[in-house]
Amino acid sequence: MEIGDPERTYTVEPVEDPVPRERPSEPAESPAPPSPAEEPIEPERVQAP
Amino acid sequence: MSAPDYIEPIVGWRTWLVVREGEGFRLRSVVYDALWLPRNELVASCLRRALSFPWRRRAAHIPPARRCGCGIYAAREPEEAASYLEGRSWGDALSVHRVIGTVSLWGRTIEYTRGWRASHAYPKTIYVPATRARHGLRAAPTQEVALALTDYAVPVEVLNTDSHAPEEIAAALGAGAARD
Repeated sequence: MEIGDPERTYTVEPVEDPVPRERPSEPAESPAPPSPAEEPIEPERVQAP
Repeated sequence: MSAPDYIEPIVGWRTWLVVREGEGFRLRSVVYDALWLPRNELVASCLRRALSFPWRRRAAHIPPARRCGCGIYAAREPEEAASYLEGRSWGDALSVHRVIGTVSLWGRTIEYTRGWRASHAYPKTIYVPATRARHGLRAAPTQEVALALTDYAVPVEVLNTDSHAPEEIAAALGAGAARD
């Protein structure tokens, strides 16, 4: 490509990454603890006859 | 370690070949055999040194070197880059289209009167001409190419012009989008 004559040399260090990188995959979340409503209900103790 | 001179990438214009790679399409430099991978910057290496005869080979250097022509090129004006939409190179045997766009440049950079040479680059915007220049070459459907190039995760637009004349391409680009 014809770009003319050189003028100056410098260093460019972008603050923000110019490359839209692939985001690292998020670790699989551990299943949420059951909500109180979903907690198993203990069977009612009944006195033996 | 010295402080950088600039903290924003330089933005210039380039033309790329579009080549089929496996299931998708990828950008490739027009003049040299350099493949631009999605989501990865292209890092310059001195291909001139690698391709020259041993007795004419220049000393190893970090590209772009002032005394060499190596580095990743970009033009200041879209018309300059658009002139490569019409050309023909060895790489056209493999390509299915030519596209134009803006490119971010950073790292070691040499500024020229009409463009830059830099050590690092990544596409910023890709414009896909609606038709391919003549020469009887293979062509893939424009929409298919445009869709595939979204792999680069940058804006991709189809240019609604049948012309490949640099000044008309520049007009279709809205003349000066990269300069804003």
